[in-house]
Amino acid sequence: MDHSNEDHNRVQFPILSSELTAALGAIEDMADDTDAVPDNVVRGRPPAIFRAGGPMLKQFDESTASSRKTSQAPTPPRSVVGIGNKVAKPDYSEAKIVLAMVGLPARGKSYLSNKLMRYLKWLEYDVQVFNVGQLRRSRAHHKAQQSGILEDHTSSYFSHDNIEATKLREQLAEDSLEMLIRWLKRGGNVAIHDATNSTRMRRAKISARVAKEKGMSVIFLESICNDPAVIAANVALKVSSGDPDYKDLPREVAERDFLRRIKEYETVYETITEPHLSYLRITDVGNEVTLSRINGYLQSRIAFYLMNLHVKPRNIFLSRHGESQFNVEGRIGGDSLLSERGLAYAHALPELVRNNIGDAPLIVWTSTLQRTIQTAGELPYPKLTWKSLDELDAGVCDGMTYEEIEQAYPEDFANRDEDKFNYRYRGGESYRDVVVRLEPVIMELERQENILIFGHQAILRCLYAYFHDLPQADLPYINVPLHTVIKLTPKAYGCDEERYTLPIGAVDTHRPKPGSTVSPADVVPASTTKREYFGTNI
Amino acid sequence: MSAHAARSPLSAVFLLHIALEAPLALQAFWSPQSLPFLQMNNTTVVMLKTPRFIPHTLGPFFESVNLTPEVVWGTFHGLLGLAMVVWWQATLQYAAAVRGAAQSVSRLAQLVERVTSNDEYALSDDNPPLCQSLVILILTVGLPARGKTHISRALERYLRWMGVKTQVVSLGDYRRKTLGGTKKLPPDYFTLGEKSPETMALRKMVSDGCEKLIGDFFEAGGQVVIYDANNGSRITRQALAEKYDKQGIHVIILESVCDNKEIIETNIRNVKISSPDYRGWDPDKAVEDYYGRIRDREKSYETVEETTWPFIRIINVGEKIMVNNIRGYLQSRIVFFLMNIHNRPRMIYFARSGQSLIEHSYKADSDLSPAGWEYSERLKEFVVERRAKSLEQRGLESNGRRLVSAVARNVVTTDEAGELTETKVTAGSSLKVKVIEKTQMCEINPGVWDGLTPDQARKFYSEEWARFVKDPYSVRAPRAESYHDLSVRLEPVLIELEREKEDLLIIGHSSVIRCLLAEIPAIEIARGDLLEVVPTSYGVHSQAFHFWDGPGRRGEGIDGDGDHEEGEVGKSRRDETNFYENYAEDTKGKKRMTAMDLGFLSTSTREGSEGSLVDGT
Repeated sequence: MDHSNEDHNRVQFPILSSELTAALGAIEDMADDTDAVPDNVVRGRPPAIFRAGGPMLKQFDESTASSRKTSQAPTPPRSVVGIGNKVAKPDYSEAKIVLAMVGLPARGKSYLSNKLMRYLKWLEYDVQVFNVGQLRRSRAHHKAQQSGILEDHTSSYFSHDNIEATKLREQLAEDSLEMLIRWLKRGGNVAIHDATNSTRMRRAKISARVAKEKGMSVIFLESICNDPAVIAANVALKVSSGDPDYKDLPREVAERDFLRRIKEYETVYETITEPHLSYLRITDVGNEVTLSRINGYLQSRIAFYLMNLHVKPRNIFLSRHGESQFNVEGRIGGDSLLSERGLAYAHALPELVRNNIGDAPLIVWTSTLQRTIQTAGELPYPKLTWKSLDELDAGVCDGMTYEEIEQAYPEDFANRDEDKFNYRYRGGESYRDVVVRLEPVIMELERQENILIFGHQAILRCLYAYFHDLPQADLPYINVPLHTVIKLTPKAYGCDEERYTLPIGAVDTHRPKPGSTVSPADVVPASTTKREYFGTNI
Repeated sequence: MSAHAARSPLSAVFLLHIALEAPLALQAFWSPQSLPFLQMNNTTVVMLKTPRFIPHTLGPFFESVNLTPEVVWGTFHGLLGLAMVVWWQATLQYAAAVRGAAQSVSRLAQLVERVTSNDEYALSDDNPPLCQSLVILILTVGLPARGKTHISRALERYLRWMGVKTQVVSLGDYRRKTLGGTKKLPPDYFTLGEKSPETMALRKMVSDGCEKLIGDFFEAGGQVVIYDANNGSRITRQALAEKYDKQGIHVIILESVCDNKEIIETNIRNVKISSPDYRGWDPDKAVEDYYGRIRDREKSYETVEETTWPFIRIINVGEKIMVNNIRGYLQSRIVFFLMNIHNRPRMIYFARSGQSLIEHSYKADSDLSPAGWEYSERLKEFVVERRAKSLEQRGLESNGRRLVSAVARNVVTTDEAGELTETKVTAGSSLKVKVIEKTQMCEINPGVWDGLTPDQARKFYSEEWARFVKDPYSVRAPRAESYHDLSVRLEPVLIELEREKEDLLIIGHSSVIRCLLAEIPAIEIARGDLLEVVPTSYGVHSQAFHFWDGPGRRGEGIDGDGDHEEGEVGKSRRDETNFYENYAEDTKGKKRMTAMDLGFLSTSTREGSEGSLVDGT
């Protein structure tokens, strides 16, 4: 039996071994023939063997075309040729979660749901917040416009004794839930039901309704806040940030009314203790966390993320490394050192940073590549290197210029422009892969306070998209110029941004999306901190 | 005591001073006039040519009561010497605390040294946020049979895998080791109420012994100790926590509560009865006895309500978790891990990916070779067969259980994924396989050495090669990943692996599998082997099956068997040209930390590593 087995293999093998011999021969030739070594490679060292620029890769692909077995599988695996291809989005269709918020007004429910939405969207889940307040306001708005009747939405509306209004509010919550379930059925992954859901009865209704749908599960997320200062800040934010409920009202009146509204809820509020529900209770923004019956991968991710949040004011600075030698030559990837102008940037940084944050503590994160470490070199702050912050791995194209790639593999190159986010370089990464690898970084970033990150173009694009909640299609085209420090200040409903460009020239490495006249990066809102009061989904 | 204090050079000076001073002080009390230095002081003063500042006499009145300057001087010295002794004794405790802190600083420095070379979480001295409280003591609290041991062991496994030096100190195990089983114990050992002095002494001896173990481990540079004991009374907890807190150790209380009778009963039947305590007992009687032991404890048990210390409460082994005031990087990792553990029985299979056309290139990302295709077919058949058998053995229904298969990203294995999809079709509804492709499970990146043979790498990158060979765990070649980078990358996969409740088949590259298994030394997964791992409460059972022989099993099949000698890089009997394979193979068993060698899924009870030899076609 064994013999026949070996024979069988021997029959098939010549193709392989001859290939290997040929490959090795070519390697030896290349190594010996120092003239063939491109200029950007240190002499006496072999070039990367399977580089898209050299002849090896094409030869190899062509020679092995015959040996590729056609699979009997219903979905034949793709064959590997060229320099990369598009990768399908992972299948998240099984994840269908209703996340129902629980908590009194001004306890940061919307803050948490907003934050969570950004995080999960960034991880490519389909997420939507269904805010009952938004629905109420927009319906009232609609009604007012059509019939001219102005509904009374002062605190008496929220009183439990106001039977008519209570019924109306119940109806609103139910409508919102129905919309949410419809949306999930259409292919959403996580729907956040942002309402007070303050009574047991309400919660029982929700869980009974969701249980009727196959494959959906519900988690309650209760936010409790005992710190009066935090509540006061939330109330102030609510009253002063242009809530249409309090439009045209003097501040004090509005505040008093809102506090009364909270009182109305407090009279009927029941904290979650139902043992059969799966819930997550957060007290004082992560000081104390209770998890009950949290099953499933996505659920535990959500819980872990919420545990890491904090609301201390802080700044996040993002900067690319200074201009590198590869930047000047127009090459991608590599591990080159800084150019002269890049060094000048590194030199000018300490002053810029000090002027900005003064003596506040700051931690600097860099990648493991030379150019970021060099850029951070003169800063007098604790530093940390993350392998995960390394630039997107261009695989076989590492160290080439875009022109070279286009010349060697014109079709593949066009392919990448078509769908840059999903395009994975052969032997390298796609933007999606980068997002996956940056996830632990985001988690740690949420836990930290003042941070300065020296990254690379693709890395900072991903991080930037997380903080500004930008769609994936635009992500690879975000403009992150060299020699610019981006300062992000997380606020309740987004991030404030300031950019400091140092007057040190640098090459522009930004490639706008071909065929588009307006770079999507320019469409980025200057401030995304404004809260949506009417929603966009109605 | 002096041995303790003599550790600081300054304290040696202090002790020397006392040693010199003591006889003088005694003499000063006995006969102050005859102290030798009395002559000296004037001489010294004269030599220094300074005016004499000690008078010859204090006056006639003092002379009459025999109080001369000599006596004053002598007495003063006596008192000073005495004061020094008092001071020394009084500050011993303080000095110990300071030393504890200094040790944690040096431990920190060690860690920094270890990680700054390459780590993702490279820490530096002045970077407290990521490493505040590096030295952690986790006190488990809970009644017997509440899954404390299960949780402690799982956590130990995980932390060790992360590279954190961790040790479970189990009071029960220590007691059994030193005192023997239940029968040898005095009858009032576990009962409530007044205990005889002998029993008290025994109990004290056991807990002291454990505390010594804890102290020793911290002294030896350990970072996390999980003290697996009941700690049921608030006073004991408080005393313990305070004691360690004083030494600069961060204390976390981990309470395991169980109100589900079924879990307790299963736990007693499966784990406690088989413990050495009850060797030779009738099972039902043993259960009865154990329940008695628990009942007594229940009366005196005080659940954790104090919020002095950060605490984690786990209810019904992960059903519900409460977390209070947990801050810091390592702590939040611990909580995340605890969120993901469960004790549902399942099986994990590991298999290598098939041979690809160019094995030694990461970048070429080539298709499977013909042999690889054949392998993938054989793997599919064998996994189906083996799993059916295994389920039958364990008396589990295959209905409703799914096999989840995680594969690495490289095409080598996606092809197999395709094959497994086929499995799904051919095997119909009896086998449902869900295939998940994981980017994080890519082979370790060889960086600039991609496609080179070891000889070439040595020739072109001699410096880097030398450094790499010395410590492959933490040194990364240019643009490459070190083993540590790989394990950091694989951490989310590991958590998912822990979380997964269904059976799991992992098809990966050699370095990835080795990293996940953290080097079970006896088991080398070659191509054509399938490793079956069954996690249990006290470790894991693993069994290897051989199902395929063919080219590529061990690098072109050049003399496959026999142990690979460590250190002889590039001289392996494997395929010389296949640097890529060798890159993974050569780094085998060379982690810096030996404590880690018992890695994540390492076996405390390993069975039949030879396994059954199943013939390939």
